[in-house]
Amino acid sequence: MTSKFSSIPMMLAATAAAFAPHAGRMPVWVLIWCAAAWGWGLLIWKQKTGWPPRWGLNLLAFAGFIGALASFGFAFDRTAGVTILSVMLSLKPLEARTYRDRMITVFLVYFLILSNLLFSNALPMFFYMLGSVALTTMLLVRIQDPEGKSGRHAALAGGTVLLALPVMALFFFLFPRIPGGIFRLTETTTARTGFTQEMSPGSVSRLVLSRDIAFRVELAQAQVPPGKRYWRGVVYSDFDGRNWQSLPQPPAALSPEPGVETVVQQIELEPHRQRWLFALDLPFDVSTAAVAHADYTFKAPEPIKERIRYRALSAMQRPARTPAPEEAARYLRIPAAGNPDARDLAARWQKESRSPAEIVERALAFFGRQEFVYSLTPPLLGDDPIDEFLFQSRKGFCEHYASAFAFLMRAAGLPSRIVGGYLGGETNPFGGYLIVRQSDAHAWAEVRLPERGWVRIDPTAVVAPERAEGGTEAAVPPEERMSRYPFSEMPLIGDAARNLLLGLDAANTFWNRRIMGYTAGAQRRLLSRLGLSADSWKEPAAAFCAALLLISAAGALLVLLPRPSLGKKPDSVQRSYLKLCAKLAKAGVVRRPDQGPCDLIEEVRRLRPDLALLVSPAIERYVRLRYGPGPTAAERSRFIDEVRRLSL
Amino acid sequence: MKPDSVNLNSGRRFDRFPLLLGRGRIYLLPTRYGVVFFFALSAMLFGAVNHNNNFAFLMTFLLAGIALVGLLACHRNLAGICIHSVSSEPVFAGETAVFTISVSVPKTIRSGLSAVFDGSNPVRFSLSPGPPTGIGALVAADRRGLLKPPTLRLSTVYPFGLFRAWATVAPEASVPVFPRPAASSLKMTKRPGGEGAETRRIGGQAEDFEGLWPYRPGDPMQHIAWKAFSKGRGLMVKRFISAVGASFFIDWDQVPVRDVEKKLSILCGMVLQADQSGASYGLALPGVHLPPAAGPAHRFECLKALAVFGLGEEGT
Repeated sequence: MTSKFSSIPMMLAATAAAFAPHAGRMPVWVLIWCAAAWGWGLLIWKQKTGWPPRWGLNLLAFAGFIGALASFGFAFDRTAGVTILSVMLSLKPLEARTYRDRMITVFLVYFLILSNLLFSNALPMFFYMLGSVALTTMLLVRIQDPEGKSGRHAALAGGTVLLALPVMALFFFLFPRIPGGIFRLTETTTARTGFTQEMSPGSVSRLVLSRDIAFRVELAQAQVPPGKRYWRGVVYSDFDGRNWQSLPQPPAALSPEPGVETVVQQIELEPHRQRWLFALDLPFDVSTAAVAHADYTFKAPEPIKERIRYRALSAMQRPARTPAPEEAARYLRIPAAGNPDARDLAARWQKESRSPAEIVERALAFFGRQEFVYSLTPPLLGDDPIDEFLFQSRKGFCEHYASAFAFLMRAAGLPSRIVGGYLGGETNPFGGYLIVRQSDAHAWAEVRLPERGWVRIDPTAVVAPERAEGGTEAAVPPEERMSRYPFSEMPLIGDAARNLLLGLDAANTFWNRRIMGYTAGAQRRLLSRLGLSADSWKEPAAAFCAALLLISAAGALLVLLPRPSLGKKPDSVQRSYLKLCAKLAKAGVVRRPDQGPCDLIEEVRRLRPDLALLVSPAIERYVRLRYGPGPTAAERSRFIDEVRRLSL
Repeated sequence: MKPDSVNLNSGRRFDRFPLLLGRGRIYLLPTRYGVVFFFALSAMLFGAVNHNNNFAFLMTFLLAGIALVGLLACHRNLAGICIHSVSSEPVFAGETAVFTISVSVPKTIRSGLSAVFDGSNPVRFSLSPGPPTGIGALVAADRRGLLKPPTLRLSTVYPFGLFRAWATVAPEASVPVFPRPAASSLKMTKRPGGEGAETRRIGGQAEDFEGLWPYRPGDPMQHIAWKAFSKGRGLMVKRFISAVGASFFIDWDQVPVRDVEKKLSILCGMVLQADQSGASYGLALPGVHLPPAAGPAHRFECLKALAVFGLGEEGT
């Protein structure tokens, strides 16, 4: 009777563990429903109150089913499906009176665990599901062996899952894949930060406060020194006196100058709900659906709402391409009025300079000479923001410098624009890739020089040279510093926390790229690395069959190798004794397992006194051989012989 | 290799003990839950292929790996079990014979085992490493004779219930099933022409007390010296000296019943009665003559003679 109840606590634990990741998706009444059902289950287990009647449970299940459907407006989607499963499953432990019911419960729990993959495919979820599967497997063992020790069941279930992992990996990598798109979850991401259509003073410095990752990049880092890692994203071309706008542009065909050094990058862009694609300055090709523009920006056809991966090709040198005249006009446009002091300054530079390049030099010298401060918390600017910034506050973040610089250039008659993107990035030593965060957000200017085309000018680099190589953190005043990592002010813990988080990020990245992103192509590459030319479906299939064979062989070895033996294999004396016992058993004297040889003699005297004289010398000899001092080989063989000849 | 079993003239193969359950003996098939599990996995794999969903692939193969490990574990749960003997105490017809299966296991605990004789109810048990343990499995003994147990089946679905491993064992054990004892009002008399001196009633008081002896299993209950026991001297038995030649025969011809089985039942009852009284008695059946004696061994011989009477060599 107790064995029927004994699996209830495990059943509840496994169900709850399977249910937990779904809890946030369910209507509140389902949570209460499940908690109540589990409480009832505990009551049945603890108080032995007996099982509720089947018809009552069926009624409840039906009510729950209708209720779950109603909660989702009778529209069946994955959340509704999982809710219905949860509502039904929560009642299942209450009727686990037969073996069949218990087994069905386990299968349903497995199913509920697996339904998590409809909602998330993150690495932590994988580990959670592993644990949950192990717990459910433990329940499965308990159902087969209700009286057994939980510790033993846990060890068995854990060991099984560990042993199943290599099998899983082998199957996973070798199971033939069909070329095609990889399943992606349409993640409903929360609002992400990133560059927007408009850049105003303060918009980049607000972005920099976020620790979110913008994208990850794999590239040959030696090719691109840290100070040169400008990631181009948006070009702001239109200025209204305060804000810069990025306006739609016609598509253009981009191609690198012949003989120019190019850099290939693999970029994994986090969803940022805009259409920009980022790549190393100056990109001319990306491997995903995107429109290229003449200002060397790329736009995806839709706002990016899920993580995407693409390869980008960038040139390290700029083409000497002269923009079309109407294009030049656009990059010279400034409002008719406002910021008079800045206009005067620019006009003076224009007058005094012999070449456009000299104007640029003068402007940069101006930023270098004056007491400009690089700060995340600049004062608010009034009606003439450029003037106020240049001549009064002199305190600002990269967008202030870029904006003021571009304005000065336009006022001095040089076409200019602002580029929004990122500068720098952190190398993850565990994964060998760069992590570029929102805190690396940056804005710089570009000026078109008649003989050189568009040239990147970063006025921030003049004010805060540390920014380019050390990141925002190195460039801002100490009191404004905020770290990407917790505990960074503590020497040892800070390092540990940093390494831990970088390690986790590397594991996550590996998971997303190599495991969740494992494709038919990746499989082909893997197989060819293993020496199989995998040009058709036949090779992966053959490899998979080979793996199956391999696993079967390993299994067979496991079964066959440790030949089961009787503890210490019975020696010849023991075997003879057992033979003697068998003969006696046939003669009606059955040795009980608790009876030793001396008891056996007694037993023979009692049951078959006629045999006592025949048998007892042999048994006595056995006792001497077993327990006496130093038995000789002769005595041993005499005993064996004696038993052989004995016929009862 | 030595043969594991011997062929008897009946054509049935019997197993020799000790019998080690090794790979050649263990069969393995999925249970119906295993089949359900397999189909569920197939459906998941289909879904994974259809959607090219790598996470689904991973989880499907994880569960497949678990089932695979379970298959091996199931086999290993049975492999290495050693059966030392299968034997039963004699029973009377109509009772149930409890066959004690003496089993041991070398190293690891084995759980969720079940032993069943074909056509009976299974016995569930688990084994710990150590000396052999006796497992009692029941076989109904309906008719007198030598009861040979049907094929013994040891099986397990442990650890996951997805596969069943089993091994069949044909034990050579046979146990005498005595006739169902029947009461009779017959008096036991000296057999005409017998060598006995006088006729006595069973349970007669005409015995002389000899002394107290330590109790040995099989001694008649009514001879236990309870007074001595209550004084803390342990179980002692009063021993009597019977008058010389105070023995008698239980005789086939004395039972005026036609039906052989009924007759045997009555004779069986008489043997038991005689044994209880502690008297010395003999048994005379057509073709069987057991001289008067007393004690458990004699009682066994008499009852066995009744059990196999007229049944031929096989005794069944």
